[in-house]
Amino acid sequence: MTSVVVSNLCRHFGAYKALDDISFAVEDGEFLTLLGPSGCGKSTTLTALAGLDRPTSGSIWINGQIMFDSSEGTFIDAQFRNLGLMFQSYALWPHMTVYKNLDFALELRKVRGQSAKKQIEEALEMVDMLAFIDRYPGELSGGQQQRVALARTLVYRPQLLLLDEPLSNLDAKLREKARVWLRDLQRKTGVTTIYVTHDQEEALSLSDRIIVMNKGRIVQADTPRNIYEQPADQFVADFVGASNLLNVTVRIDDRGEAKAIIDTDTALSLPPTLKGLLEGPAVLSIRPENIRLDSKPSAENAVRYTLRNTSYLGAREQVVVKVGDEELRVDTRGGAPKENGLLSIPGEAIRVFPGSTP
Amino acid sequence: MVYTTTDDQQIVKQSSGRLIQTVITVGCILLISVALVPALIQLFLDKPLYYPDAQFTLSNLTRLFQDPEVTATFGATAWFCAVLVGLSMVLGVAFAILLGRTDLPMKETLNSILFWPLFLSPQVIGFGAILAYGPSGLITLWFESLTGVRGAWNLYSLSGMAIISAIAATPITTLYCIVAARQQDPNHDAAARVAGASPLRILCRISLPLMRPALIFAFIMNVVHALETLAIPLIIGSPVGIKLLTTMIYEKSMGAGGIPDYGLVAALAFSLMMLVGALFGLQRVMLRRSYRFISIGTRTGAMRVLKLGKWKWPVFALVVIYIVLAVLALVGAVALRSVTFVLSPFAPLMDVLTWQNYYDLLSIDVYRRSIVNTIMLSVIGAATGTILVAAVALVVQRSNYPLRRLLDAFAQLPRVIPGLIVGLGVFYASVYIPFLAPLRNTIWILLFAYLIRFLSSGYGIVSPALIQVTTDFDRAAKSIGAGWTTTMTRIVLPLSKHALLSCFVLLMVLITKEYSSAVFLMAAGSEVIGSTMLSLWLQGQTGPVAALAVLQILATGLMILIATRVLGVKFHD
Repeated sequence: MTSVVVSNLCRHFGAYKALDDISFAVEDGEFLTLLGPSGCGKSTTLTALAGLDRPTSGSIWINGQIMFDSSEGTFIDAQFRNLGLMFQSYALWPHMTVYKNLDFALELRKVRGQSAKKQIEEALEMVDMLAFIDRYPGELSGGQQQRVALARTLVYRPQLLLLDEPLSNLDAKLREKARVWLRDLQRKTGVTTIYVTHDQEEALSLSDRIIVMNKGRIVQADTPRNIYEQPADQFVADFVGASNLLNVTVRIDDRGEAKAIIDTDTALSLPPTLKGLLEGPAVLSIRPENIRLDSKPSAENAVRYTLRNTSYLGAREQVVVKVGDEELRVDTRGGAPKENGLLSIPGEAIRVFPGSTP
Repeated sequence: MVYTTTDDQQIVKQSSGRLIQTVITVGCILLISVALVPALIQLFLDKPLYYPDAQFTLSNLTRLFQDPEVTATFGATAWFCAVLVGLSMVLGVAFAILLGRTDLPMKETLNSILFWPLFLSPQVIGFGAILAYGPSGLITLWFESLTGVRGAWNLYSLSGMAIISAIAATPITTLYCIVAARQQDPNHDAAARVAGASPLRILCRISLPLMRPALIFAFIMNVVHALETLAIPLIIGSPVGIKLLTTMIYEKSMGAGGIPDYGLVAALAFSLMMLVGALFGLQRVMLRRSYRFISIGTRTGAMRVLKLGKWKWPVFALVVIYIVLAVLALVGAVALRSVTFVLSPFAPLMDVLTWQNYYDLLSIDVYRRSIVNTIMLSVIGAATGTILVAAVALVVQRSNYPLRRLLDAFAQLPRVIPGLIVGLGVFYASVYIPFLAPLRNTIWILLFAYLIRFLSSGYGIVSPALIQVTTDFDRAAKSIGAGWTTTMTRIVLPLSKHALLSCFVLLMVLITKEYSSAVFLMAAGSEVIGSTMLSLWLQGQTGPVAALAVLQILATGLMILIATRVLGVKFHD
């Protein structure tokens, strides 16, 4: 069953288009992530879904109910949408105890007495925070506040959970733990979740599906694996996991074999699986971990390089090499590479997009 | 917990709270218009606005520049302002830097005493000045008997009253500059020191220029203060015939010598307001680029104090002399006069001691009434004022009400309306607007005027404090289903408790020492301490005035003590 339908959503601030004709749907129980750099429109989409901001045009349906439709002039305010929204800052009310923070929503829904108490305890149990029920937010650590904030959005069983970068205020170690924990919790409750983040690792590990946004538009909507392995354009290729982007010229010979010409000395042969290739200028993308240094001349697409720079990163080494006039980033695990040598680029790791690098 | 969604959901199109937001906005705009609109109408009428045969005229405006009686006050007003502002700026900035940046001894104690005049009513400062430095004042006579020099100073002069008014204005300057002085990045002057600059050069080339936004703001607030000062010119200047714009307005509207000349008064009032308004406009333009003065980067370590070195004790002595002569002498003279029949260095103190003045306060109806009225007004006024301020600030800061920018502008407007003119405007309104007529000659008309007069002062405390409370709190409440009113009363207001308390105490203090908006509105039965002191003084009843003044000082002192020590309120940082 489809839970959320967003159609042709636009949000303009004067001449600036924060959202430019966004359409997508979310399935019941799905974990969907809106991913993109700051200013891409992901948070604007979330506030529009929450009903905290009125979009310029388009429509939003949630669980078969109309929430916003510009053609009919309908707009249901956040107050009446019965959604759960969790903030980057958590926004726990500092003058209320954990219990009171959760109880406020129930009070507004006229759930009182024992049943309120039971619901609050259940929600806190779920996030492992029952022991802290009488504390004030100021007496909790960042990670604990984050759990309470989540319990606060779950306690009244909203029809949709909206999370706005909920992990970005945690330190790196805690963030990784919280990620696993959040994923489990979402599975357990089965609540449809829309998650906003600029952290691609978070998006890849948490989501059933990712919508990559840029400049107010949807660039690609797909599973994490497809987003990473089959980026739709050079923006996605570069934003989700880093990619080397090279300006090349595509030539297709009589036998239908395609080559990407980097300069007069260097050309890479492109695999026949690449679809929609056109002759002429294009952008070639290759991920740093797919380039192999110290290759044999017989290896696929073997090209001569000179070493520019190495950074030791513990588990791996990040290397910058020069091929012709272009610089390439390479991730390697094999210890320090040679000053000069051959590198190889597997054809199936290459993506080619029309246009030129920014 | 099995996850199920609740289905019983209400479909409502608009966010709640529109009705109450409209009531607050319209109410506030109407309230302030009450003080301005009748006065504006009066400006173009040739007779008092309640006369049925009043005709449209522009002569009130032309008389402003042609009437020799009016133009004669321009020079005096300008000189008065120049002396007042100049002195207040020099002293106030010096105190701000000494208290904020240097290793001056006993800073804490000096700090609290230097701010005293802020909480003294200017009348009390005026009375104190006359009792201490007037021709037969305690210190004047002492000085003359010690040195044999007569007439070393003349309090009853334009400069004399400007200097005394400057004592009242100096803490305003210090207040606006001390934060800027304290917040300076110590690295700025460390950098200058490394570059080889002497402390004095650092002060002139680095510290003072960095304080420029605060200096501009303090300067303009001083000019506004100077232009609207009424009490001291009235007490000191009027007996010897020195007239300023404000005293002129006062006398014209009191009908000295026949019918009150309301048309001219309205014209004077509006020209005063225009002047003040223009200054605020100027300030906005001048501070437009104030971000340039924001220190970049984190502040490292504790603030480095500027060492005074060998100047430490001489400077300390100068500050103490100032405090003794400008603050303690005035308050002391008033306090002494309140417990004596006469105050003179030639009458042995033991012979003239009496509690009579205080007995009078309790036994004579007018005095007792003005004390009771003042207490009632300060409590009720501060409470309603705080509610009004909070409501206005919430609509402006915490709603998407379409007219909230306009409301914001209106809430700041009373800052540019001198107290005298608020009183006058409310008086006109009470004559002109039928439903206000029953309030005339009661203390409730004063409440009305006070609410308008001090709206900006309270707003100035609550509004910035609200900005500190993140709107995520409201959005979180809204997202779980709370309406505007619920969100405001349950989340935002409890979180701004401190600011509301500060606002309440500030309004109480301001109302207790207020006189200028009350002078036109009080009648037999609705006297307040400020207005009673003024009329008693003009009648020559110095003793009871001194006793009332002491009472006023004690009351405001007690409020501030309770607020700062017990409730932890901060009026300045």
